[in-house]
Amino acid sequence: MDKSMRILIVDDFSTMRRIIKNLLRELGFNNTDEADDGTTALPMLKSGKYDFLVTDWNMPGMQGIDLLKAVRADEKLKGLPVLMVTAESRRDQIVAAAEAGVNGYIVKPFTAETLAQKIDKIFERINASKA
Amino acid sequence: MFSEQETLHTAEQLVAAIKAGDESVATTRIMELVREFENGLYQEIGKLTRVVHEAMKNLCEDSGLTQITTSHIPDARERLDYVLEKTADATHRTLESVEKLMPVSDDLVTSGRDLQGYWGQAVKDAGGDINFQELSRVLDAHVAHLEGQAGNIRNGLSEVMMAQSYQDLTGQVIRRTMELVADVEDKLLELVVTAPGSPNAGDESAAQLIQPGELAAPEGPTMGERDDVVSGQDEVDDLLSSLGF
Repeated sequence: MDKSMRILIVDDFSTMRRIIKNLLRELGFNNTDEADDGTTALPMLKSGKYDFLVTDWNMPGMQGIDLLKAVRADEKLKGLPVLMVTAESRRDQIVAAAEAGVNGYIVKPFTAETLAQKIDKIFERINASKA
Repeated sequence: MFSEQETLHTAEQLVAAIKAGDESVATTRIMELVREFENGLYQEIGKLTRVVHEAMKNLCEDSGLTQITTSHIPDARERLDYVLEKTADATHRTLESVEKLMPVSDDLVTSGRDLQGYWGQAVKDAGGDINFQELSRVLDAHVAHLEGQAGNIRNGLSEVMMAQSYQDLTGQVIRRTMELVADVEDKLLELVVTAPGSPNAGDESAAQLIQPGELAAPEGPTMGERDDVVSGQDEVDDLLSSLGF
């Protein structure tokens, strides 16, 4: 896994963005940017070269699930790995996220270990499919 | 009801009767005027009664308000309990880490001073002939100890950081409760301005109905036992792996 990859963190709560940013830094990922909802995130994703998207679900403006769908519908972005970190814990939502093509799903409150595990798993699988 | 002209006419007749000293006609005219005044008053009271009646009826029939009182407000109470619990948890987690880290800081000072004391004593005892092997052993032990304590500090700080995640969760819950308060305010305002006869504003609950196949709106952290909700990350992982993840 390339520790210098560029990661976009999307959450409407600045406290949570900061926590995720800190956790990612602990894991050796220093190249992170932030956005506070899908509407701000999507143009950033389209213009920048991001390698990984970490997004919340429930946000004012564009929701995380819609951001995920927009990413999958975009010819250039559709392969972008997406990890959802959210308080949304209904089964139908998790199923919907899976159907929309999410790569990982973490429910809040979560631990640093869970984040590390899911990121590892996502990139393990991506590398395995490339090999 | 008297027209203005009729009232004026009756009043003129009253004045004429008084001038003529005709007491019985004057009394009749006064009674006519009083009755007229009372009629107006009763009609106003009637109108007011209808306003109150309509308002009460709307209050009972308005499903939005019923929903607010029977489900949303108890829900809001539960949510505020959740906020209380999460903020208390976060505070305890933070304080616990602080309590653990305070002695670590003391220990760093003590172990530094011990090393200093040992060094001073060693130099004195050796009288110019220092046992480097022993010195190296003590220094290694000291560095290992520092590393251990630095690890403790790092873990404690991570814990303090993770404890702050309560702000996102309680923030979402508080936001929803604030929406409810605004909703109640709107409903009450609607009630206050409702005039008799005017149809009640459109039914908002209809807009909230979810079409089949459509995903319900996100709701943030959930409270209490629910079948449609996972209880933690393990259940998320199980659900996803059952979907072939």
